[in-house]
Amino acid sequence: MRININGENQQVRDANTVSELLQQLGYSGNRFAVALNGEFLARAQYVQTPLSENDMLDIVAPVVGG
Amino acid sequence: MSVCEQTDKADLLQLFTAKFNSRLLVGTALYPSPAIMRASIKASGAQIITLSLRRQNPQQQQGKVLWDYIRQSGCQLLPNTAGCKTPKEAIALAEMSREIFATDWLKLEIIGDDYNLQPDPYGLVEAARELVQRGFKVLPYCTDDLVICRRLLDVGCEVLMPWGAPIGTGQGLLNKYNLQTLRERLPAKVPLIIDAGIGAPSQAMEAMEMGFDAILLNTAIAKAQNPVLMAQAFKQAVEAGRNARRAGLMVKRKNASPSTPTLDMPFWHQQSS
Repeated sequence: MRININGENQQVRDANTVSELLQQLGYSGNRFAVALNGEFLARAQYVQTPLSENDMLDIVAPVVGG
Repeated sequence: MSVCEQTDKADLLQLFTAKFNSRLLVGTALYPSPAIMRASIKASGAQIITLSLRRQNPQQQQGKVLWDYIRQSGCQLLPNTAGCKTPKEAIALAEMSREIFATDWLKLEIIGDDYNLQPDPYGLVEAARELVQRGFKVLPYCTDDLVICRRLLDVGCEVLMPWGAPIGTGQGLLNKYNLQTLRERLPAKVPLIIDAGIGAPSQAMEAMEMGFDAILLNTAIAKAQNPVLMAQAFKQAVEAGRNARRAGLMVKRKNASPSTPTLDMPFWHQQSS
């Protein structure tokens, strides 16, 4: 399926949920957060949130800032 | 305990329900290395540090050093929404920050112009209203416009962070009239933090003398030739400015007035017989 991940269109193996896709991409631990189609998605929602073709996923982590 | 010690102990910066000894808040960006960042923050005495979130893939490990530092720093974290241009973006990033950093404190930035990074006042008020309702402790990075500041208070902000000058310019307090007006016209209980544009310790000190409650800066320390020494200089300047404000500055006057007693001055004005 095609998912836009961090601004890039990517072909990924079919994933039913956000949780499955994150696992497939290699994300683990709690040092990241997710927005789906521009809306925040709480960690607890990953397992029950379905993915659709062309969904847009932003995955962010801490960086320095002013 | 001396009178001075008693006075100093009472002079804490209160933001929401938290109290801080330091009135200098610092950013974590632009330092030559993570080690210099850590040493600079320590030298600044800052107890509140700003940071942010950016896209990252799982192979990137550069965030780990920062993450480890954050967890052991003991500082109050103040995540920002730098780069956001709309309330929707800022609200999403705020929620992600709250989840990752486990704090509801937020430096709300909504940029209205790419050239001078001026905050968008309309978007700021709209986003602040929503975020306060969602339980965030919103510290908005705003312009020095009195009416916008009032609107931010109206929607529930308890702390305001007006700019001194555009981010990263180091130009200091560009509009002292507006800034002075904020301090005079907004309730004294509202903490006002000068955020952005401070380039020299003297500028930070002047803001503190004017009655601002704290200073937030990043570039002036991080980009100094010796960031650790500059951090120390800012710490001293903020403390000096605060002490001067509390002590009460003299009123300027036009004419000279001798400080040494003139009475009984020898040789002076002697009448020749």
